[in-house]
Amino acid sequence: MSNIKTSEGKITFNKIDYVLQNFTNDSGESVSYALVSDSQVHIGTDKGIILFDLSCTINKETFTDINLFTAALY
Amino acid sequence: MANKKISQLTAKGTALAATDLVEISESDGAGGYVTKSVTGANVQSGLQATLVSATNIKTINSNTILGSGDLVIAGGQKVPAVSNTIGTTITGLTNAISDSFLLPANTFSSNCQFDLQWYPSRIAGTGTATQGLVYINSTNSLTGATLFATGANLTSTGVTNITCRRTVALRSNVGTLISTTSQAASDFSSNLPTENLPFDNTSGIYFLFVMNNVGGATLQSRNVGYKLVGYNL
Repeated sequence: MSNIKTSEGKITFNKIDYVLQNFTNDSGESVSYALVSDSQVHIGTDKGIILFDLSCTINKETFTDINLFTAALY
Repeated sequence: MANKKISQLTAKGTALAATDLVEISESDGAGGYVTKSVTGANVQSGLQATLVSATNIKTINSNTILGSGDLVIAGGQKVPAVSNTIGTTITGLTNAISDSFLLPANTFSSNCQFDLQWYPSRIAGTGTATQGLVYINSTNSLTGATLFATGANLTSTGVTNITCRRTVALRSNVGTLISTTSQAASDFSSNLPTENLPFDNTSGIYFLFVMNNVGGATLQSRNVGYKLVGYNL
C-alpha cells in the first residue's frame, strides 16, 4: 500500500513532490480536485492532474470514504 | 609444373582476369574427380558484383550506406505502439484500465513531438456518458498516474466509438499538451492543455487507456485500439 505524505500545500508520493494547485475541469471551472468515482479522485498539481485512490494511505492512515480521503490531502 | 608445390609457382600478383584458367577437380558423382579448367569469367559469374553506391545499391536521402558503423537516421518517424486489440470491457460506475502499453525507455529523445490516437468505444448500457481517458505512469497502475488526455463524452446508447487524438511537444523532457479547444474536426478530444507535463522517457512510461463509466451502473465500454507516432527533434 502506497503512502501519501502531506505537508503545507504539497504532497509526496513515491518520492516525488507535488505542489497542489488548481486545474480547469471539463466544465471550464478552476478546481483543486475532482472526484472520479467512489474510490478515485483527480488532484491538481504542478506536475499535472494525478489520480489517487483509496488503495493509498495518507500519512499512514487508511480511508474508505473518498470525500474524507480528499479532505485529508488539503 | 611437375613436381612443384603450389607455393613454389610464380605468383600472378593481379586480380583474376576473365580469360585466366584455373584448374579444378570436378566431382564425377561416383566418388572420383575429373581434372578440368574454368575461366576467370566462370568464377566471377557466381559472385555479386562490387557494390557501388547509387549504381547497384540504393542510397538513403542521397547518403551512401556502404562502409562500417551505425547509420543514424535522425528525425525519422517512429511508431513505437500501434494496436487494434479489443481492450478489457469495463462495466459500470468505475474508472478502470481497459488496455495499456509500455513506451520503452529512450524510445524518444528529450526533445520530440508525438501524436497519440486512441479509440474508446461505448458498447452497451444506459447512463449519461462514458469517456475514454489516457494516463501515464511508471507502472501499469492507475494509482498515482498522471492524466494525459480526456476523450469526448460518448452519450449515445448502443455501440458508439470515436477517434481521440492528443499532440504533445517535448522540450527537455517537459511536455506541452496542445490545446484542442475550438478545433473544427470532430475527432479531437476535449481540452486538457498544459505546458508542464513531466515526460522523461529515459525510463519506460506506461500509457493506460481508461474507461470512465461513472455515468451509469450498466454502462459497458472499452478501448479498441491506439497508435503512437512521433519524431525526435
